[in-house]
Amino acid sequence: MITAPKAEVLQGTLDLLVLKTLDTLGPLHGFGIARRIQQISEDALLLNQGTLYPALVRLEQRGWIRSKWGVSENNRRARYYSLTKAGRKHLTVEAQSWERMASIITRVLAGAEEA
Amino acid sequence: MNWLHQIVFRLRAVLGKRKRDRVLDEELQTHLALLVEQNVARGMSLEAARREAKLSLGGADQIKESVHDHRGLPFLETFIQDLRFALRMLRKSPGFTAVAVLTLALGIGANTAIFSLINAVLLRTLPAAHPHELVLFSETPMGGANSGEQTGHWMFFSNDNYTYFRDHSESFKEMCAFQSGWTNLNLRLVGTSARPEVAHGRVVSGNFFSLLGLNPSAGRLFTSQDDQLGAPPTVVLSYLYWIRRFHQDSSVIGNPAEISGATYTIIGIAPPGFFDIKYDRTDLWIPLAFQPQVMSTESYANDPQEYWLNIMARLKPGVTLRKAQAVVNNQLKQILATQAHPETVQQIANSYITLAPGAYGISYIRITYEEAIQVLAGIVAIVLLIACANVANLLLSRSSARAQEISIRLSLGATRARLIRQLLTESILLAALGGAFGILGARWGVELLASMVTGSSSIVKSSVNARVLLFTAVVSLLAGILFGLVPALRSSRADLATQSKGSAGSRLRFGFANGLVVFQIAACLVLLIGAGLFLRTLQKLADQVLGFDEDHIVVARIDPWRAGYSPAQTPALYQALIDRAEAIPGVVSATVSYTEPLSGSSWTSNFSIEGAPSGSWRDRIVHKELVGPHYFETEGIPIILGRDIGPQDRPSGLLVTVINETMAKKFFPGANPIGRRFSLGAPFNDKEAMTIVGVAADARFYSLRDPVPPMEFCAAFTVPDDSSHSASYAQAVEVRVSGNPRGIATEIRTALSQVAANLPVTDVFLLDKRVGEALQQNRSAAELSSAFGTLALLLACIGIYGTMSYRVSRRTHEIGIRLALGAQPSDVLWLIARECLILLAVGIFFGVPIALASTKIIAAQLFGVRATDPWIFAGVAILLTLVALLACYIPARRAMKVDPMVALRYE
Repeated sequence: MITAPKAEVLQGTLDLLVLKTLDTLGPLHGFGIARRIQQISEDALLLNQGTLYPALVRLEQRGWIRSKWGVSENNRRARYYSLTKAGRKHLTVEAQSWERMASIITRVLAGAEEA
Repeated sequence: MNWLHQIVFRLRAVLGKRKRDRVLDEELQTHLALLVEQNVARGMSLEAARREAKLSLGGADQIKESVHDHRGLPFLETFIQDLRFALRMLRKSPGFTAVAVLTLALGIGANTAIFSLINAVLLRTLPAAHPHELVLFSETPMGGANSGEQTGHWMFFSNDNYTYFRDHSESFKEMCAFQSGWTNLNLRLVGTSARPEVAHGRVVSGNFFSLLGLNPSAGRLFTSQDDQLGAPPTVVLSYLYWIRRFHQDSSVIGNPAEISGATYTIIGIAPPGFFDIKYDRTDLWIPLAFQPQVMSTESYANDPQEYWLNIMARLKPGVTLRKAQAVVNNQLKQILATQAHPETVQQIANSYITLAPGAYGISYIRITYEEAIQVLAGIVAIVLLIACANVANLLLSRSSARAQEISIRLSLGATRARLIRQLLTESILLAALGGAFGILGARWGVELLASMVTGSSSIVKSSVNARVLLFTAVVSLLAGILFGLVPALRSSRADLATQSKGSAGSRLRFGFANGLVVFQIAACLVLLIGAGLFLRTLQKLADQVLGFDEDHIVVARIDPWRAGYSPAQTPALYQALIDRAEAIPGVVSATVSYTEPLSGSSWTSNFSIEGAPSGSWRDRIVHKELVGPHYFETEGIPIILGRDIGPQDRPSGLLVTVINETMAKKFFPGANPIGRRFSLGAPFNDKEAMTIVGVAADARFYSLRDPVPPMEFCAAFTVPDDSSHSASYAQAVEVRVSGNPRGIATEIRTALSQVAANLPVTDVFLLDKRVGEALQQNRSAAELSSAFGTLALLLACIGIYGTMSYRVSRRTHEIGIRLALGAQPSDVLWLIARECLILLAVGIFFGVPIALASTKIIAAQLFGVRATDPWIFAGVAILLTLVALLACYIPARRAMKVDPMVALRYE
């Protein structure tokens, strides 16, 4: 199955996506997070699912998520990640700055087009 | 605080590594399984599902590595990895490791030993509170007193001076004064039957201990109350003396002790580790107010012109040494201007005080040996550099053996930085091993070193402490980087593999190896020239004509002053001693003297000549000696004019003296001094004047290298009765023997001890022992510099041998061709030798200017030889040439024996 080339995901945006996912869906295991990200981006993001794990370690290191053992829907033992308070705060701040950035770029591009 | 959280996280990860690895494994497996399930649910076959799942997840190992980089401390982990690998590599080549570690152990160990010495002698501060606030008024190791006028550099102060400075001390928080010398005292515990024993005592002001901020280890220390006239006499003992004499018996505190006739109460013990500000050997301290009794003189407090105290002060916060010095010198000028004896403007302008930092006290050892130790430090640093050069060369030769391994690692994706880091780890490991062995060697060597440099090893007991270990660690680390960096850089080059095949070899790499050898040769040149200069100095000094016959004279030390003899009783005592000594078979003659030649004490005085103008009597200084009859005959000093001191010079006779040649030439030029008279001090005093009855040849009484000063030898038997100064007593009996003096020494001791029951003979030795002591510093300089120079030469020799061996093995192919084409073995020999000689020539070319510059540093310690002596330079160059040729002899012979057929096939 050949897929169209997908955009590379920057480290920071991956972190943001993970946090957002956990915020929306609550505690989730690695596979679930990966699947959700693929779903949202409608497969537009190139995500070697393995690159998720270093990101998860990084986020845990920064204290934005925490992990513990749990049981998945089909009775498998899996490691579940959840958002911490600091992580939720970081998500809010980062999301706002992204939106601001996006709106600026949009306006610039729109302005360029108009000119 | 994010980074803090990160660090904690990483540290925890290091500790729980295995568990987390397992967790990650499980997670990945779960993820994979879920992916497979998802794919199967989408309709793929199990196998296709698995394949797609694996592709989707990515390589498990890559994931794990990526996670690792975020977890744990990758730096630490790779370092441990490198360390393990380095250990393995070193174990695999034990010969190389042994040679490298031994070389480094020698170099680093020598540096550790010298640093221990530096630590013990130069870096030891007084155990006082805030030692760096302390200043000394003129730091001088001399102890004694000046009477009369003082000009120039003021080193001693009178009681009045001290009071003035203390009352006007705007720059100082506090000030104390202490006797500049010390006094030998008899101490006996009252109420016991023990004999009195000798102790070193010093009088100090009442605030001596409080200024230093010391606490007693038992009892209490002085307060200013103890230092008043009429206060009850008190004494403080030093800790070591308390242990040595009283075995730490705390019952002595509060008890009276009889010291030189007066009774003092022992009030306390000084803290352990405090050995006094000056000289390090004081056994007891007594308040200044008791100076007359302790020193058996009149009270110096009443004499404004008796200068005998040293002063130490503590700076006020914010006051610099320079500012305080300016203030003090102003005060000095005011003192002089308002003194009772008017001083000339010239004298006031010439007088000055220098303030020196007091943190280190006045250690006789430090002041005497500071320069020697610094020179030694320079020498061993150079030896270490030579050792590093050797190891660097070894590493370079080894790198070509490892070329294959390195090129494989490079091709497998290792970065050059990673390789360099690993190679450096090997180097540092070598250096660390060398350092560890070096410390072991240094512990043994430092005592030997100390006794060679300073004459005793006591100062470096327990000297290998934390600071020394830290020093060794730092030196090892730096050495490892120094010798390992360039080989690591070269080894990790990607094109190494292609280079190692060619037999011509890379010119560039040999350039560095050659550079190392050139450096070693130059460094050896410098060290050996230094050693040569020291050896020649020693030889010249030892060959000095002393002027007296040190090989046949036995000296016995006595102390009639402390035994209580009055001046009137001394002539009979001296005669009894002389007669007893001369009765011993084998003794040619005996006499007494104030002190024996080269004893280290001297007594100088101004003097005034009868009939000569009294101006500038300050420059008229004579060294005094007190001698008995037939002195010059006994010492073997020829009399040039007039006569020796003889039995006719009795008490109540004429005061007579014999002067030496220098005195005659300087103060009675062109005239006959016999019959002339002079008196000590100024102006000329007829009653105390001495008549010159003879002129003796010059002899070296004080120094082997300084010119002989003017000396006068006055007759001991004719000392006036009212001078009870300790210096007007003879302290030595000198006995001339006809045969070997060694055999008779004990007999002399026994015989003299029997003369008077209360006059013990404290020491008996041969006079040449004093000569040996005078030469001791120069001897140790020569021995140590030779030892280290030889070590450096050995290392350089090994270095040359190694390099030439390696060169030969690289050129075997070329040599084979040459031989096959008809070259003689001797041509090949010349080929190799020529390379060696070129290296030597370049080394000498660079070494000579460096040596010329370096020997200037030690020029002050040389004697009889110039710092640029061409014979020594030439001699060392020839020695180096011979050693270098010897070193390349074996490789050259190996080159000669190359079988052309084998060589041509070798590729």
